[in-house]
Order: sequence, then C-alpha cells, then structure tokens
Amino acid sequence: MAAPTVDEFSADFHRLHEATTIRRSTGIPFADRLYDVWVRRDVLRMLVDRGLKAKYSSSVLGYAWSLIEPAMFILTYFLLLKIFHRSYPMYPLFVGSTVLAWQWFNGTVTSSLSSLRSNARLITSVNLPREIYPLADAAQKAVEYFLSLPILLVVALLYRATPSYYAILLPLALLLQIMICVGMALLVSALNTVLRDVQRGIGIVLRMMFYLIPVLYPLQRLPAKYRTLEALNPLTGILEMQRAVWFPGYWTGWQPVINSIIGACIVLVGGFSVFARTERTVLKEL
Amino acid sequence: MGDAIAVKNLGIKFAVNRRRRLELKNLFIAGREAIGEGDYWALRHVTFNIAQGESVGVLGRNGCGKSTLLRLVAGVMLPDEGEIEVNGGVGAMIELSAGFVGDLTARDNVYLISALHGFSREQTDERFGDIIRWAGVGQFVDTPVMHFSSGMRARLAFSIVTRMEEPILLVDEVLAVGDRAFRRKCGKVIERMLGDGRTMLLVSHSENDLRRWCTRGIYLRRGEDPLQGSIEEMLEAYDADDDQT
Repeated sequence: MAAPTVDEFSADFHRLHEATTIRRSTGIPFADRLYDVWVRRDVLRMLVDRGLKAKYSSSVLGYAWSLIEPAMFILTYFLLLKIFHRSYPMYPLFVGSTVLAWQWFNGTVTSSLSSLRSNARLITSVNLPREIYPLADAAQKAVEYFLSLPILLVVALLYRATPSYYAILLPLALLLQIMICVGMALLVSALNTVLRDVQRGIGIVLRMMFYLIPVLYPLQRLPAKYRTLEALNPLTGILEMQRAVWFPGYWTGWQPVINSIIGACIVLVGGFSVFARTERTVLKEL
Repeated sequence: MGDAIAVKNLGIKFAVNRRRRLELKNLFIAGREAIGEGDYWALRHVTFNIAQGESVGVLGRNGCGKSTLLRLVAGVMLPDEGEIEVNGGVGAMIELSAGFVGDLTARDNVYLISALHGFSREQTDERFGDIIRWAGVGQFVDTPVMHFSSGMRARLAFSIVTRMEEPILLVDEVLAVGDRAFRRKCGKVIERMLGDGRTMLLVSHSENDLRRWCTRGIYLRRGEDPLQGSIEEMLEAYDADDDQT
C-alpha cells in the first residue's frame, strides 16, 4: 500500500494534535470536561444519527412508531376514563400535553442505563470524553420527543383547541427538561456501571413516579398537603407548564416552576460531578 | 522533538473484591467477607519516557499489567496515582480489537471507529478500500464483526488502526493470532510506520518481534518498579526470572 505523502501525514498529525485536548491527570475541572465534549461535538452528532438510523430503519414502520406509541397511550387512558365515567374535558389533549414530556424523561433514563455498558468496547479502545455516550443517548431522546410532537398537534386540531398565553413558557419547560435529562443520563449511566442493582431499582422508581407526579391528573386536584410535596419533584413544574399551554385553568402558580429551576440545576451539576467522580471506577469495570 | 509519551510515577489499583462489595445486598447483609479484601496495585511507581519516533517493547508474564499499561497510555483508563502525558493522537489496538461493536458490520465499524478518531466521512471513504483490501475481508464487508474469526478480526483491527496514521501506535499482541502471511504483512506496515517516524509501544510474547522492532524494553515484574533497558537486557532478565520458577 502506498505511503502517505509528507503533506498528508503532517496535515493528519496537526489535526490529531489539535483533537488531543483530553486531559488525563487527576482531578479534572468541570469546565474542562464540558469543553472536551464541545471539541468532539462531531462525534456526539454522529452517535445520535447512528442511534436514530438504527431505531427508524430497523423496523418496517420506522418513524411511524414515534407517533403510534404516544397515540396508543393517549387512547388507552381516554378509554379507561370513559369506562369509569370520570372524564376531564378534552382528556386526550389533557393527557397528550404531559405524556410526551414524560415519555421523553422515561426514555432518557431507561436508555442511559446501558449508555456505557453497550459501548464498552469503544470506550476502552478510543479515547474520547466518556460523557459523550450518555449525552448522545439524551440527545437522541430529545430529538425523538420533537419528532413525536405532531401527534399532540393532531389531537389539538381534532378538538379545535388553541394554545393559551402560557405557550411562551414552553422554551423554559424544554430547557429545564433538557437539563434534567442530561443530568439523569450522566448519573444513571455511571451508577449502573458500578452498581448493577440500579437497573432494577430505576424500573420500579419510574413506574411509581409516573403515577405519583401529575401526568394523568392536574396538580390542582390534589389536596393541598400533597401538593406541596409533589411540587418538590422538578418534573412537576415542567408538566404544569406543558399542560397550561392548552389548559390555563389548571395553573397552580409559580412555586412548582421555581422548584423545577432549582431542581434542574441540581440534577445537571450533580450528574456531571457524579460522572466525574465515578469515572475512574467505571473505566475499570468496563 | 520532545517526548511522545511521558509517564511519571504511575499507579493503578483494583479492588480485589469489587463486584461482591458493590452489590447492594452485600452492603446491607454483612458477613462472609473474603480474605484479602482491599486494593491491589496492578501497576505502581512506573516511570518512563518514550521519545518521538522510538519503539519500545513491553514484556512480562500474563496478568502483569501490560494491557492495563497500554490502556492508561491510550487514555481509556485513568491512573490512581501519577501522571501520563501523551503528545499526539493514539491508535490503539488492544485485545485484538480496535473497539469493534460486534453486531455492526465490518463496513459500519470502519466508519464508526474512524469517526471516533476524528475522521470525516469523506476521509474514510478515501481509505475504506485500502483498509478492507489490506485486511483481506472484502467478501465480508457487510457481515457483522461478531461472526469474524479471531484472525480476521485482528487483520481488520490492525488495518484500521494503522491506516489512521496516528503518530503514536499502541499494539497489543496482534501478531500472536495471525498466520505467517499476516505476520509478514504486519511487519512491512510496522517497518514503514517506524520509518515515517511514528512512535510505537508494542506488547508481545514473541522474542523475535521484540528484537526486530524495539530498541528499548520495559519489563513489568509484579507490576511495581519495572525494569528498563535495551531490549536484549530485558529479554535476558525475563528469561532469567522464568528459569528460576
């Protein structure tokens, strides 16, 4: 095989030299880690593309599944409430407005359980910031969320519903959820590598959480003493904002939103710091 | 040019009983703690420098920490003590794999691993034919790598890692599984790369290979304070230790 020319070699050499900004001594500061990920955002993008392609091209219905899944979910709860004659007005829209956000969160946590384990071979062969793998899973789930939004719009159109002024809160709801999902993905992927029990525990926690936080019902319906408790969950504020876009009447005030902002910051910083702390152990386990 | 690799007082420890200690039920249910609980230093007080363009052999018995050392230099494991400085991109072939994902095809693996090393699609397109041809897996480009024989896997891994033309090459026991034709081909590539001024760290049990390509040797004995010297001296020291037991 032909040897590369000197120019080719030196061009490669410089490219690689620049790419090798990954620090290896002990105690890496938070900002450096974010910067390392930013430098290799091309890889992040590629991993997301790969994940989406695998998801959509490996099944016959492909993208349609992203719509069918929430549609069936909405339908199930609609029928259930019909049977018990306990309907809220426009219940499919009511559930749809929160359930897509819930599925985003649920999907992120579930898929990040295996972010590091399923990429063990790559992680132990190619030196990249390890954060990239859970971050790619989190990013993929965020993209899937946006791809599933048409189903909500279809339901809204069917009911001829119009968004309220609370729609201006949507960017905040999305930003907070991205922060929480990223933090959780880092946390769960690292912990599940060193502690196998996490996988089982998380499954139960998610199932309980689904009923305990206001996805299927408005926070307003809860007795006041539970309401305060429930509003402590950072997801509650996000769900309240999502719902208020279509149902401003159920708005309970700013407290859950403030809690969400604080909670999202804690989860995000906590995720990065737990990941950094456990990284050494994680790499030995893989 | 300066050092390609500078390792200072490197140490890494493993918990003898990590898995058992970490399972939740063992955190709550006390008892039956195994003897020898605690940490075990796989490598400690390891210090060496490798100049740009130098080729160094790593030798030692099974389980003495050779692969761990390569992983640390590759940056895919982090030390508990000391520091590693690596100047330049690293192509690592550890445990006969360049990081293959088993259920992806050879083609997908080439693109994935190249992309992780920072190559664009177009750059890989250019090299793809060469990589596959050299590895001799043309017929199986669209077969998942998990169905490959160990020889095929080694050929593909070596082909990918060397065609990335990284300035630093870490090679762990590639030549052990290949047949003679493959070893000869590998030899040619290694010679060309060393001629081009690449730096190589080679783990091998083959005295011939070590003599042929390495000028210096690092002999890992019990993980701590490795011996260093010319490759001949190291091979002698290794042999002498072997004869004693």
